[in-house]
Amino acid sequence: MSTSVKRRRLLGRFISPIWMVLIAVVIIAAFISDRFLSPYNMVTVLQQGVVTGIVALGMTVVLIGGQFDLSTGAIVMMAAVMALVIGPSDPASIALAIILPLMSGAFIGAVNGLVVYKARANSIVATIGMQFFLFGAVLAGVSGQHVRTDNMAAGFSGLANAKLFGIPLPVYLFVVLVVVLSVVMDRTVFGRHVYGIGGDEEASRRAGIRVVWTGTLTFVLSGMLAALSGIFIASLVGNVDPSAIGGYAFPALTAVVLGGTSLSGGMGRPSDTAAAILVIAVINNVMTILNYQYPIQLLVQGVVLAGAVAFYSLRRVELAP
Amino acid sequence: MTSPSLKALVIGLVIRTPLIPLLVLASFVPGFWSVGNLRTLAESVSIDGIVVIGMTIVMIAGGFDLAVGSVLAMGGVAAIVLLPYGLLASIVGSAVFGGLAGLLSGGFVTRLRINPFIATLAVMVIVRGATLAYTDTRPVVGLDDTFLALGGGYPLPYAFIAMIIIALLGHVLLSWRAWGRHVYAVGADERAAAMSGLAVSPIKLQCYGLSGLLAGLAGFLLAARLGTGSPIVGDATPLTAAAAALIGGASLRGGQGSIPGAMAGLLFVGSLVNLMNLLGMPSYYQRMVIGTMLIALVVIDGVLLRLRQR
Amino acid sequence: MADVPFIQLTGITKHFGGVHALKGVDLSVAAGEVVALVGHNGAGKSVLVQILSGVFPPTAGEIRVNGQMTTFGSPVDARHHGIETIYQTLALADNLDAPANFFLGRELKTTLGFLDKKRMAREAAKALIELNPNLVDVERPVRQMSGGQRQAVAIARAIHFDVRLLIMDEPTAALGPHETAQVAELIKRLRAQGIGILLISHDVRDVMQLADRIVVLKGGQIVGSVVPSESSEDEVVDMIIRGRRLPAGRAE
Repeated sequence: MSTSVKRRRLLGRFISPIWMVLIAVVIIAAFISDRFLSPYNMVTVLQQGVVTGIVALGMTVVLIGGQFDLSTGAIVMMAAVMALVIGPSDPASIALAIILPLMSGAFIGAVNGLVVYKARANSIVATIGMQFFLFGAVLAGVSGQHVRTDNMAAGFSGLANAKLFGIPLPVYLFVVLVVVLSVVMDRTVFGRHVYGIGGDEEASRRAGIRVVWTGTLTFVLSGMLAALSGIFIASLVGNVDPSAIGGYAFPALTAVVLGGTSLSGGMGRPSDTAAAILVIAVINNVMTILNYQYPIQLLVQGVVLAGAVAFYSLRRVELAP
Repeated sequence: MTSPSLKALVIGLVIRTPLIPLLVLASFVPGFWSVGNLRTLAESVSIDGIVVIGMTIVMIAGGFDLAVGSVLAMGGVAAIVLLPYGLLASIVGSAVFGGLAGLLSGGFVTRLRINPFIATLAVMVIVRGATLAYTDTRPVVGLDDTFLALGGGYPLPYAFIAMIIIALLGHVLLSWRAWGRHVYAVGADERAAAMSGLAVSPIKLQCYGLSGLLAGLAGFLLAARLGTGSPIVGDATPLTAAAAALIGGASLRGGQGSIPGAMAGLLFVGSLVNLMNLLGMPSYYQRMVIGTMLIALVVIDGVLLRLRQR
Repeated sequence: MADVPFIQLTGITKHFGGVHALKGVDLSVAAGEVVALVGHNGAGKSVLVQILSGVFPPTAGEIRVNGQMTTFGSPVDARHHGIETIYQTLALADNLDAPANFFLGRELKTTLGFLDKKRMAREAAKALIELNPNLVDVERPVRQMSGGQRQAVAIARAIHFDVRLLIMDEPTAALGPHETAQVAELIKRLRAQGIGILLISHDVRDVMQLADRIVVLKGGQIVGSVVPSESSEDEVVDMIIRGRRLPAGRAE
């Protein structure tokens, strides 16, 4: 009995239920539409998944620490607008169009982190407030206009569009990010402390963990990843309607929760979020193929979020001693 | 019983909000004190005001309702869609749809024990998606003279009168009835409330239901004013409502707050936005201000908690 | 050297806003001495514990370690001086397993800077089994452990890292009689090793057996201190309740 428990635990270490769900969803999708498995469509699924996925990875780390970052949608938008306003036309401005949004994302994250961990503000309301502030600020900055750049250098548009073996570069970067973050969360002191804070903030403080520093870093990470996602969007499409691209926080949060990260913190894995991101991308893709438009996709996402939260909370109640 | 509520109102007006300085400042802006502008102010705060009342009650019970904005939009669409069946069907329908959405939130929170922010976030998205899908993302238009007349009213807009009446009823319910005591008790300490025999889950469910119902009703009034039911309105509504409730003494940890206080908070937020409009500032500045205000308010909320704990 | 106590508090005062939680408390614990701090809830015991373990600083007063004036800016500072605390609520993170909790805040690292999970698991398991042979499966979340097992994790963690002063906040409150006896045994063993112990309790009978000295706290002030062999349970209880010494009581 002990060995079977152990085996199950070992298995659970590498394969969580969400990967099974992903496999099931892909099989169902393949049955629903033969277009789904076409190489072109698979690339589309990955491309769409990755942009939200990078955001979701950052939010996963923040939520493992027990907090929410709902300002990420606005950070994505801010970064995309910044990159296009800078207008990456030569190597120097390309570097600027990457570094400046990343630094701004880190700065916003630091403000979020200090507001939440130092001033002890409720993270959901505070980051929604930040989301509003950023939207307003960026819209004011560009007077509510579309932003486009006409002479984007190939180097910059290649960031998101260039392909290696037929797969866009961001997909590789996403895989690298998942691996790196998994190692960081599982094998470094920082990661261990984030789990500690999420499990019991006061116990962690008394155990000598620098809660404010570690917690703020999770928000900085989330801000930078959201900014990275924004840079990819800028590179992908070359023009942005600032009032239309704010909706990344919600699907990302849905993925984080669907991947099994506990809403009260302390539990969750970046790799599971990645699987959940793909589940959502597949579902959205199939709905698009079947001609169900954005409203229905939104509705389904809301149901998926509610269902996932309900599933995990009921399961935890059962597991509790 | 009147004196504490009066005190709450006065404290809300004078101490918690810089409302008086704001109004003094407003005197230097030409046109602020004109009858026309005051009516505009009354009109603009009344829709949010009805939502604020529900939000305040939910917050006193220790919850939060992020869904009020999309429920408001759904209420407006329902009002127009049901208009052919008569004005009564339109009013009752928007309120009932709103109430059902609220009960859905309340069900998630009480039955499944989901964190209220996440539960109402999910309901927010579900309701928004359903409304957008039903209307195919386009506004619906209703042209009925009585209906449109309800969106007006001079000198005081009917919506404003409705807000005052609902605020009074809500205040009576909270301060003078046992139910209100129970709401405060549940919000202050759920376990203690349960141990002293209160039916915690039904009370919370009622609060969320009420919040949804009021948001739906507010949607009806907005649709009557505009003559259209738009599926995309109300994205700032939960924030404005939360800001007003927090200024009015509510806390994210429940057990505190009052409707008179929240009304004072609403007046502050409304006047601020009105002033910015008079000064010709684009609407994105309003978002910046509301966002900043909300961050400041939750920081203060956190600081107040620590002071109380010590 | 011998007559300088390991830790000496002088005139420790703590205000929270308008509330005076501690008013000029003097307290010392020598190496190998078991001092019990008793008093009602709200007497200020927990506040004193948290000051000693660096959770927050006192409003006024001096802390001396081995005669040297010092301040504790954080729990890390207190640990640096060999002061370890076992909190009443145990202060374990429920989601982590025993080794992770054991090394929380002072994780062992490999040469590359990554967590050395194997070594941590090995060392934690060794320390735990030494303390309590019933802890067979240490690699599961602390959430699934019994009160006694959790207690063992908290104690093992506290005594593992070169402890000089062990503060135990109500160590037996959540335990059965058998486990309580084990804790008493442990206290005697640590005392013999020259470790100072500050025992916080409201159970006078318990501490009469274990303590070299009993200090009574009431309303944020020290009422007095007695040696159990020269006193009685009734006298101590009387001090806790009345907040004053009987004529027979002996001051420090």
